[in-house]
Amino acid sequence: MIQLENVSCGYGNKTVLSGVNLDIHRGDLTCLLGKNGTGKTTLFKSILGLLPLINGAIRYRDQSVREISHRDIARLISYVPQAHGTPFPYKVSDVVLMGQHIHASGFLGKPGRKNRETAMECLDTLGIEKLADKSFSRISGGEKQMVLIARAMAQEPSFIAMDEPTANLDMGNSVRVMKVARALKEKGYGVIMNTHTPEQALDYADKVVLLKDGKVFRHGTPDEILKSGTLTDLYNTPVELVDAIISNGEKRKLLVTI
Amino acid sequence: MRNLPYIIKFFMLASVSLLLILLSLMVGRYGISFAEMVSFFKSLFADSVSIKPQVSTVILNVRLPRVWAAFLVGGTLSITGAAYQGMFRNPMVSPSILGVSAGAGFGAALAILLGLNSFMLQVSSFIFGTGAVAAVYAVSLAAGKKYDRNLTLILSGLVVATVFSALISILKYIADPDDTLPSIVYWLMGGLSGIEMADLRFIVVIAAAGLILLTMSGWKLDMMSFGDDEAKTMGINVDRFRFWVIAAATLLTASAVSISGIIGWVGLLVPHTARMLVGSKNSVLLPASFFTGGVFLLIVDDFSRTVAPMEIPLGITTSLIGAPFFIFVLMRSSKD
Repeated sequence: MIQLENVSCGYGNKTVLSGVNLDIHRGDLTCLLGKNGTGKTTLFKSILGLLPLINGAIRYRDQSVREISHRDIARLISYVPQAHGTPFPYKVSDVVLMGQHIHASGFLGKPGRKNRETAMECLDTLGIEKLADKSFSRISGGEKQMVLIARAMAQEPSFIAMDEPTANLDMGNSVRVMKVARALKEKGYGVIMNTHTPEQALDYADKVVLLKDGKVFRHGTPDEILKSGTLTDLYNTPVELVDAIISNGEKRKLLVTI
Repeated sequence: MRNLPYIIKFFMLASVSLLLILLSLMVGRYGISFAEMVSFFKSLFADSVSIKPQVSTVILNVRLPRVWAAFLVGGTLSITGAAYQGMFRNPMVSPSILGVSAGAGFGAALAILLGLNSFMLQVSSFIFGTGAVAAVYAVSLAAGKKYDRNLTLILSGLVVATVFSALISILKYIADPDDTLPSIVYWLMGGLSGIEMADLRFIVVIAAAGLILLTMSGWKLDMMSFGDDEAKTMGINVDRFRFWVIAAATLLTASAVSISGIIGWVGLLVPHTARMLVGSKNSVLLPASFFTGGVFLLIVDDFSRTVAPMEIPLGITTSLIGAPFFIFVLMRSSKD
């Protein structure tokens, strides 16, 4: 479990978020929602140990993030950035192998055969083993996102943090990435995700955290807190949640802007 | 070529390097024939083989130090360029980006002005080269973590290099126009004439250590080229790693510049050529850059000392060859 106790975070002395109290569990998909500039990325960076806390504490298994090295944080939580390019072309298998850096078993801390096998297993698990020998620079945005998820899995962490993983992706690829996120939490990972799409929280999340005005506005299960009024307040835009029954008879909630 | 196993590529690179080293020993004002070369090598192992004393003198005292120097300086500048390009995530970065060449140039110019001997010139050049980078590092630390660290380093490098360029101009301005000024100008153009084996003791050790250490940290450089945040979340101590790469690169470049003067383009261009040969993985790219750079500067130096009655400074030749080659690389990469 990751515990956030009265966390204030920001850049330098500028506080972006304050008084955050949250528990993030393994086996849950936790979505962070909020307008642009509400501190989703700041909170993310603090959880990943990339930003020093202004106040409060973040604990992994009762150990404060302040006391753990980057290497040990990397064993606990891995990071999936938005799909991006690199200035130099690397092979997909080499990119995924980077996730095994903290488990390197080869000569003088270089990756060994076992590390390469683990990296290939991660590609296999996501069904993208055919990309292994391709150049990371030349695959599509959706494929890049999958490769970055495979790299995060290769770290063999307890938690995976995904920063707007479906930004810049088409609908089909977005759905594929979200299904992978759900599969990961079903495997026992704790998945934390930033998103600008409340529908993803409705359809996939176990817990939702709403951020507004530098504070946690609401948090709980999607059923408890994702209501028309709350979302209207959160985004300052009138929206309505409507009940729908899809063709397989399943009841779903749809978000409609007014 | 690209799909050949790495081991074959390195065997080819090593073979080309060796062949060129041997060829370079033969080329020059005093031509040495293939038969004389063979006799020279035989004479090293068998006393009964006799060779002309001039052949032995030219090879051992003139050509060998020079050929070694060209190979080591080319290799050193290139491996540093490749490492910096990976770390700064920028294919346009060269080894002198943090001011080492400007600092070393000032050190050499000062030594010439003070009438110091060639050993002290090298020492002065090395000290000011490393000192310039230390100043850049200190300025980037003082700038704090508010800005991207790579950006503050590059900007500080620009500032410190400008200051040292101005200081070099002051030294040129006050130098004796008949004596020290030409020496300063000629040194700054880069060249390897008059080099002796004793001048290379330092760079051999540093180049060997740099080659091994940077190659070993190659795959961390791969991670660094995904950005600081991603490298940190994969468990790299980014600040510490960056410090060691800069320290190693500075020692390598300063030791090269202190014996050769300022030779541009090599550290920028050769990594691109090596990337075409072996790809971007730094653990393979860095040693490949070293050998390719060695071969490149050896060819350029052979050209510089044979093409005209008077030797052309290396900095001029590398720029003349480098500029069109860079356009070729740009056009090729835009097609990819």
